[in-house]
Amino acid sequence: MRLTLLVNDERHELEIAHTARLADVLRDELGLVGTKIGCGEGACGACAVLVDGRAVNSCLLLAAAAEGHSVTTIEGISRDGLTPLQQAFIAEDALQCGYCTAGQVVAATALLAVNPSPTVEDVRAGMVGNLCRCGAYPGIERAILRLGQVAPA
Amino acid sequence: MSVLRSGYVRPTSLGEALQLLAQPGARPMGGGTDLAGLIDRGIGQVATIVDLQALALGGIRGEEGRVVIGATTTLSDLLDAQDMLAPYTALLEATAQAASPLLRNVGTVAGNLCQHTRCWYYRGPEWTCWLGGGDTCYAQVGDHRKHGLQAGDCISAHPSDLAPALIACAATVQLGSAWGDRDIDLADLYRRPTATERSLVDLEPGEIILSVTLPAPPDSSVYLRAGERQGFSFPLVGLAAARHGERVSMCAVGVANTPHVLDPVDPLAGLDGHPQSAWKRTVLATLVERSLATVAP
Ligand SMILES: Cc1cc2nc3c(=O)[nH]c(=O)nc-3n(C[C@H](O)[C@H](O)[C@H](O)COP(=O)(O)OP(=O)(O)OC[C@H]3O[C@@H](n4cnc5c(N)ncnc54)[C@H](O)[C@@H]3O)c2cc1C
Ligand code: SF4
Ligand code: FES
Ligand code: FES
Repeated sequence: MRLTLLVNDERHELEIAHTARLADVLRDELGLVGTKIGCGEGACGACAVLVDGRAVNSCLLLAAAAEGHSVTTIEGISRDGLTPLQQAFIAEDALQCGYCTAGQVVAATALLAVNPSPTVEDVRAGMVGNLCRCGAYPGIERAILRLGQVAPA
Repeated sequence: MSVLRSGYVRPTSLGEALQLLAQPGARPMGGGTDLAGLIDRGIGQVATIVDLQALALGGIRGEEGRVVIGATTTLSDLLDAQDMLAPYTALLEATAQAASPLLRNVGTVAGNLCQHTRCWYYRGPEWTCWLGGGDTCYAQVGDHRKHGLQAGDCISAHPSDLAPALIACAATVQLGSAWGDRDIDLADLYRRPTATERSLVDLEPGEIILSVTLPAPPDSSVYLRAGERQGFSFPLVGLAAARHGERVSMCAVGVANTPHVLDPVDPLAGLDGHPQSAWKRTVLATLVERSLATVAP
């Protein structure tokens, strides 16, 4: 089927299978390989992207269902260079292999957008859909909390 | 009349959607978080996906002491409506524990209620088990550690956290199809699958959920669940209890292939268990005890 996707503020006309997933379209059609596919079934969060500002699992979302919405990938988030959150990830050693990192940053970006000064509990509940096989959780938590502390009260 | 052209359609009026759904092979889609997995594994016929997102079926509104939740309301929308839903504690507690924020942003209430079992044989592309239309319940002869406690052709465990909370709060569902609308108790949406009807929901072909209605809130309610982890795991056993005056309604998931309303006098009745799943009896008994203590006046 033919569809138009708005990704990182750019319009793309595409011809895709009607069951194609947004994650595959982003990676294979648009070359946006920052979005990773871990489990392909909603369980790990490596594929997180923003749709109208909300973090979702792009491995389950039909690309067709994303038409008419605004999709933001990790490439869009860091279009103007590393964001303060990404810098905090580096400072807090919040990654090891890095496979989950794009998804973690996307989910945390969405979390901080609605809750700029989260508590530890807010971070844990908000990030529960993002797994890290390397177990970098303490660093990820610190990075997000660090952002919260510098946010204006 | 609209004609199915491609494998994906997004109708913009309910009338058009119901016409499309009346055609063979059409399947409604809310967020698609469950449907995507079913498509991947070739479960059920999905010739055409009818995406309900543009039908304005979402949203929560209070009406004369009741609360009406549109079918395509997401689980995140429920959590964002804390004020209106506060009197239905069990529902908020169940929703907050269901899946992950990423999935709740997309998963809809109707999709959650109609999600298919997570039974690994049902989901495994290499098997066609009894529920999938085959002859054998592989779980009964194989691995059923996380399965239900009831006897029967299919011993799968219902996975929805929302269903028991809504049923304990006496929710009804409004159904629509090209042939007309009807209003039933949510508990009656579910039926145990039979030899001729291998599905857990009692919907006519082409019929969809339009909304879920909560009547006046219970005096108190609670949702308790046991999972493999505290966060982001399907309920192994989930139990909602709601007290309406003297009477307590309890509904459990993880123990039978549909949400199971418990007999207040003998909550474990009919839930004898299978060799590898009988441990859930102890968990259920504990959750019953704790929930009754919580909702007591
Ligand atoms: C990794 C993972 C973990 C999860 N953990 C949990 C959990 O802990 N607790 C829990 O409760 N759930 C859990 N879920 C399930 C999740 O909540 C559901 O997938 C989601 O709520 C389904 O909503 P949806 O709108 O995406 O459904 P869809 O995928 O769109 O639809 C699901 C089914 O319902 C049908 N359907 C959709 N809308 C309607 C309608 N209006 N009328 C009739 N039929 C309809 C579809 O045809 C399909 O068969 C989990 C899912 C995943 C992938
Ligand atoms: S428990 Fe039900 S879904 Fe699982 S194998 Fe048996 S029949 Fe199939
Ligand atoms: S790849 Fe999407 S959740 Fe794992
Ligand atoms: S850094 Fe390796 S999976 Fe998270």
